[in-house]
Amino acid sequence: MENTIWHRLSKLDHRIIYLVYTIVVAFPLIFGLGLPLPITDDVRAAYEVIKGLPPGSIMYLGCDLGATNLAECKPPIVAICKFAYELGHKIVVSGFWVDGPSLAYIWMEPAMNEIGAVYGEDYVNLGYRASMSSILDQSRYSIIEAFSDRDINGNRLSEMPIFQNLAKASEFTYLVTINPGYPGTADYIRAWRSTGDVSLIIDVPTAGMITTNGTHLQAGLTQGMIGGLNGAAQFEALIGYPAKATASMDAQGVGIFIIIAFLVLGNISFIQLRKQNELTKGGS
Amino acid sequence: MKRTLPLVLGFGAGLVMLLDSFFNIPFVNNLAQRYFMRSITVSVAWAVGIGSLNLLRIHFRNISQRRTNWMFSAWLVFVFGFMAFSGFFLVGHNQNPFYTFFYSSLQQNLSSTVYALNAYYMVSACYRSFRVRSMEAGALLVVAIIVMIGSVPLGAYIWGGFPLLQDWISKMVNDAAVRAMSIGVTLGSLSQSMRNLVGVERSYLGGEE
Amino acid sequence: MITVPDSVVAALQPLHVWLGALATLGMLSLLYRENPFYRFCEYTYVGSAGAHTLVTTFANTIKPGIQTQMIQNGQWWEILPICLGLLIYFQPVKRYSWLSRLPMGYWVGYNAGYALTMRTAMPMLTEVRRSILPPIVITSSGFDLMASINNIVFCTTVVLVMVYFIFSREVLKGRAAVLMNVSRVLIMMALGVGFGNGAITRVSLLIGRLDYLFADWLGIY
Repeated sequence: MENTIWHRLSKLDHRIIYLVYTIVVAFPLIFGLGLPLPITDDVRAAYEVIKGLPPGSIMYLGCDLGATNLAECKPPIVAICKFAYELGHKIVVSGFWVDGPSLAYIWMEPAMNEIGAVYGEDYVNLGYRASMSSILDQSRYSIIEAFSDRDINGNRLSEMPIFQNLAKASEFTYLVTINPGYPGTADYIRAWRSTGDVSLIIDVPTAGMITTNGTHLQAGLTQGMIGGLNGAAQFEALIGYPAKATASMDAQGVGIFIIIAFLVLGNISFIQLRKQNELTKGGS
Repeated sequence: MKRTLPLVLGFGAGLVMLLDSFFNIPFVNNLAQRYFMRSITVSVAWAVGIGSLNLLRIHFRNISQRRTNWMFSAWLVFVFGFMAFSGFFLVGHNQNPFYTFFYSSLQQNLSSTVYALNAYYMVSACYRSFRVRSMEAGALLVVAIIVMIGSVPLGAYIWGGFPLLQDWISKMVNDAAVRAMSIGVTLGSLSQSMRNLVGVERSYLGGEE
Repeated sequence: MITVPDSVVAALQPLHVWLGALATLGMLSLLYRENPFYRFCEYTYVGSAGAHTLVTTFANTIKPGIQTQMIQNGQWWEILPICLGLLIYFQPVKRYSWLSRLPMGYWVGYNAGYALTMRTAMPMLTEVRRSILPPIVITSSGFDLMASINNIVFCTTVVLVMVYFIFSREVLKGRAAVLMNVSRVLIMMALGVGFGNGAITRVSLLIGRLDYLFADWLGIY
């Protein structure tokens, strides 16, 4: 009885599982399956909100993320910034996670240079700041004072063209918050939505955060949601700019199905072994 | 005094914030908006170093006492020193191309790989440990499978109903359950804030006198 | 301040992807077994992350504050909160550790005051309001069965989950205990959504790494 396939499966070396998983996920990543991508209402809503805003609108991009979230956060940041620039919007980036603004700078620079956006005029990165609540609160009265009049590179904000028409948080037309954890969307809602300063919020959570952030969307506290890599791929499709997120979708699908397969196989094996044990006990 | 002074300081700061929010008193509004908010930003920033200091303290101790892996601790201190030196003394600090090179080539990739490892552990755990032993566990498993399938294009390709089902469960059951928890958490945080403000809750001050 | 010649940075650039790939492989090597290469990468990561936090806070928050607010705008009063913040460093010194309570008390008090305003109440009240939905939905085209069912499911779930957390098993006995069981299944369903979404996030992160290795490093596609 000890040599049945279920016994052998239950003792499968975890390294074999890892290897199988890597190969199976890598295959669609390299070769691609070209599966169609359905667009969800949440992503379409985000797209429509941004598209409907007039040129000259100012977006605050809250990059509260770490390098750990590179795969899920880089594609939507690049896609949203490109789209916003094409619509004639201005972009102000900041964040309250140490890595966030630095990474946004590294990721955005090539993309913004490619489309001809001018730093300080079309977009600016304010850099990381410690203490989210006090900075956001003070920005309601003076962004320049809250951010000590300096951007990520140490340049003076007051001398930049983008700040000629931007003094306080209520002058942001909309807020896009990249949200892989805390602090994040809920804190922006508390700081600027509750006080009536910014009423348009597009939430860009990682897939894991969709679970908690969906409730903000249902309550009308946010106006659209671009969730996870899948949401980013949908957004890329909507703006006609297929990039990394789109290319990763097939691999993601296969990766998920493999998890499900292992989940089901593990449970079948468990049930079979339990049956065998019961038979052995009954026979003895 | 050792316990009362922090409480008085906290009560004062909290009271100014409350008065600023609820009343239109120019003196208080100016005090809160120009001085209190700014003082929080400034004081918090200067306190960030305590984490790094603790990290160095632990690893210096590892080195001095020749504990297991002390060589790695020495390497950590070297990397810390190298990055800190580049960041503090090079023109442009953390935006200097030399610093950015090491940050983006090493730290960015190391950090994202640490969390990518979770994908493997998750597969392994799903196979070895996730067992349906009760109705509740069954509900969790079935919903998880539907959500996973419905969220990827491959699921929609197999059956167009998966994304709709996933969307319905997420919006009707999950959002509602999270809503109920969120309301509870908010009420809890409000009462906790009140306890902190009036000094009923003092555990954050530590146990000793 | 030291300036690094452009030629040095340019000379380093070809190593960028290689360093990244080695770092990635080093971390992934843990999957095979615990090994010195992994340890090396792990300690590199922790050391670098610790320094980056310090450097970024200095460059983006502390330095602009001193440069602009204090030196240029003459706001020398900011020395006071700086001293207050620095008191936290007395924490490891046993005799004076009580001094570290002062900044702690100040931050906790400030944030308590911040939280007790409409900033916290408004999202909660909005959420409460949006949880009370009409059980019968009549649209311009008549009775909307699906929307009505959805509203009933949503409201019922909110109430049942709250009931589960508010009342204990001792209160809800007999037939009422059924409510607890239904609530528990609903909570498990929500956790299932969390599990599913969490799995998707992990897979996405892995894809990001594989993409880096195959596309950026090896240039396969």
